[in-house]
Amino acid sequence: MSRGNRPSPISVTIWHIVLVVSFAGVIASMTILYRSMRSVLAIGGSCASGGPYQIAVPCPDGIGELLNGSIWVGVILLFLALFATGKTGAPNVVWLLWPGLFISLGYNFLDFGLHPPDGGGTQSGFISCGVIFMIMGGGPLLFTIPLMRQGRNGRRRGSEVAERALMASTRLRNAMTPPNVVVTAMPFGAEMPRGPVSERTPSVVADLERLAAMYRSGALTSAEFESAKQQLLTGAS
Amino acid sequence: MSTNQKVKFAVMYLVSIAAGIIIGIRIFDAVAF
Repeated sequence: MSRGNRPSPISVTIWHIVLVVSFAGVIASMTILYRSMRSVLAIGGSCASGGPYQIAVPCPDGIGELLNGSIWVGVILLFLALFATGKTGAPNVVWLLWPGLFISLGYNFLDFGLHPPDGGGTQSGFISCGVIFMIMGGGPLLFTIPLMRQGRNGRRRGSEVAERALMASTRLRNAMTPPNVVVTAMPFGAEMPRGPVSERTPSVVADLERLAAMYRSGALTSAEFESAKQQLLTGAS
Repeated sequence: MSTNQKVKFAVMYLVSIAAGIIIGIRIFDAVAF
């Protein structure tokens, strides 16, 4: 089979759809969590529903189900989005959901801490929670973005170094092999060129120059130089 | 990754975010109110 393990276009399309749907589902869960939290903060920050006890502050209708459901559905869809990211080769931005979640919920705490719905003074409990959430969300964001930039620059520098090392090793091998054999730097996986040496090695002149340099330096005698030159020209013609 | 692919994925994520926010608000309004 010539196509190997490459996924079919239909499979790729399906995984793109899965990524869009699951990521949208995570965002929807976060939105529901955000609004559910605001509705609880609006009635003082705590509530209860059900059970045999007398409830001081009952929860608004459906809030308990929405809070529990959004957390569990969001976590499941988060893992599905991560899996789909790997399948599609999409940039992984799922980690940004952590800062997004904590900063948005931290904003809720700060908003209700600074502007309580009952019009009283600031709520230090909410404000301290808001500060902690902001640090939990903003800290990774501040540390990770510079690391990502360094990683990208590092990969670019690494590829340049690898390219220079490849060219240097090729030059070294050319210097150590007979003059009529030229090693050409090729990318991994490239097909070897076919045909006579003369058609794929345009560097005969360079070999002759190197031979002449060896003769001038005294490494070769006149006879050896002439013999090698003839050999090179014969092999290259 | 080519520029076209980057644009494609950026559009995908932005559409997902917009759709997610709208769906989340609709679900909340339908269940909680």
